[in-house]
Amino acid sequence: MIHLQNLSIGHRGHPILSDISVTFREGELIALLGRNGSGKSTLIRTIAGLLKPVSGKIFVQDRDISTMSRQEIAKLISLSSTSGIRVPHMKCWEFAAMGRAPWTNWAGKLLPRDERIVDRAMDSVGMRKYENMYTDRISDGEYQKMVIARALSQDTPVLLLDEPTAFLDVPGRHQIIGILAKLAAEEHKTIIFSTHDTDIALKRASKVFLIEHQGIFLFDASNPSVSSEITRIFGL
Amino acid sequence: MSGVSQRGMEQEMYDRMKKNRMIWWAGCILLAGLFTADLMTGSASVSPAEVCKALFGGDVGEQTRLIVTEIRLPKALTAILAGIAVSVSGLLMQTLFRNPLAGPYVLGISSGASLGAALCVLSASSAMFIDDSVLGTLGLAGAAWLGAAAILAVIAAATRKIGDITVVLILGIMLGACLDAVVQILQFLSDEQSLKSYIVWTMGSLGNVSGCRLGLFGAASVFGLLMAVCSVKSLNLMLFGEEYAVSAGADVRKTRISVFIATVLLAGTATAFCGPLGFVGLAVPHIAKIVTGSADHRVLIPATVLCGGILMSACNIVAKLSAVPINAITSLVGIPVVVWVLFHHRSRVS
Repeated sequence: MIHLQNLSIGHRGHPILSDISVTFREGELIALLGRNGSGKSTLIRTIAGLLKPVSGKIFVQDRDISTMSRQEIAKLISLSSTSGIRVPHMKCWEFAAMGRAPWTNWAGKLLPRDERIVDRAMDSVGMRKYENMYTDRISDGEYQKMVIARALSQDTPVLLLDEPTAFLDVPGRHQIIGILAKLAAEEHKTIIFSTHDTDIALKRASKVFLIEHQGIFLFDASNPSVSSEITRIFGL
Repeated sequence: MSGVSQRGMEQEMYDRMKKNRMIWWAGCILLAGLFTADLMTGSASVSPAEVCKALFGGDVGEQTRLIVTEIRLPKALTAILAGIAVSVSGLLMQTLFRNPLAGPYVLGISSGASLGAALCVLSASSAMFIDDSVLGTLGLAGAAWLGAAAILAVIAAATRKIGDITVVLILGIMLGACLDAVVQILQFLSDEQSLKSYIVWTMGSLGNVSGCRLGLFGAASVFGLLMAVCSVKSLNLMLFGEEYAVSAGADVRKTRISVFIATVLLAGTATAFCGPLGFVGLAVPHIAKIVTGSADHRVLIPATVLCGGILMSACNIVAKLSAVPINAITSLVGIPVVVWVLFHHRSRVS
């Protein structure tokens, strides 16, 4: 569960979004919608603790993250962002196992328990049979699933994903959001993802978080007025 | 059915582990063999048996013992140390800057160390650095460390400011060229005696490292390596960028400082005592990556240590046999690897 309390976000003390107060619960899949530059990435990076809030507080499971160490935060929140760079010579299983970092010792030694969690993460995204493939030799869609598997290995109650459907074709996008919806429903994760795919977001997400002209709106995805709001905001 | 495939997978894993272990053993044996060969090669021929006797106190002529222990042993050890130091610093640079073409030479860090050392060699009385005094050793190493640290600080600051890795790389090359120009001016202005000792140093000599210098070189390398080993987990996470590393709980600032100090100690000391060693720092980490097929620093650091030692030992033998400066040999070996990496990365990205 995440609670944002009077949160203002931005860079170097200049807020781009002010006074956000919302609560995201367990098992919710939240789609973050808004135009380019509206502050979607800034919000995700602030919740992940990478950017300091201009003001306000962020609580994850009733703990203020500003009072926690990096490692403690990493046990509660995972972040997956879209980065085109793939590391050569790295196998899919090793890639997913990177997510165990906050739970392992200084050398990152995996115990049998860690290995089981990685195996399960690979199963959840349906990539178990790719475990010995190199990550720079798989398709964009498969790589995106691996990114989710890595986040699942981190074993956090909260998952943040910055544009997980970028660079994917239409079936690929549906597949990725489908996996996220399943994880939220079956494993009770709180998942927040930003996207430009309004159709898929409305179909699969439980909540829609709209950012418009420095204002925010939170809707249930089933609310019939959502699509008209989206049409208005995007000026379609 | 699933039991069979499970057993097949376990068999496959066992085979792979056996193969991996064989590669490690092969590397260690190769390094030991080259080390022995290194001790055998030179103007006077010494048999392997005599090398062993000279090293472990067997019955062997006094002259042979002196040749092996006083002349060839320091040189062979220096070759291995230099190979390890420059290669590991290259690996750290490649991860930190997330650039396969980074290395102490390309980023201008060797040039920074060269300038420091040049100021030391050319300005002070050259006699001070020819002998093996504690003061001379520390002065030369300290000057090179300062030079390397200054360049690394500029490059690191530029990386934070610019963010574009290609621009940083170009900046490093330009800085290196600029420093080399300054060194040239210094050479032009200096007297004949110090110029000669400087020119010999730039050719990359392993010959003048012994006693006190070898001790300092060894200590600096071990310390640098330890700092690298302590950062393995963060280094692995940083392959995906600093932002991901932070979000996965890594202390990126601490890692950056560790890598910084390790690089200064490794690349700075190697450059101070052996001169700029061509493309070793760039090429060897790639050889290690290809041989092990891994991106994991827990595998790559030992593999880079082994490959660096092997490569420099081999280069040292070739240099001795052909009486060519070792710097020329390392460049001839390193450049094909660099070209290969360029082509390989193109095909993997597109």
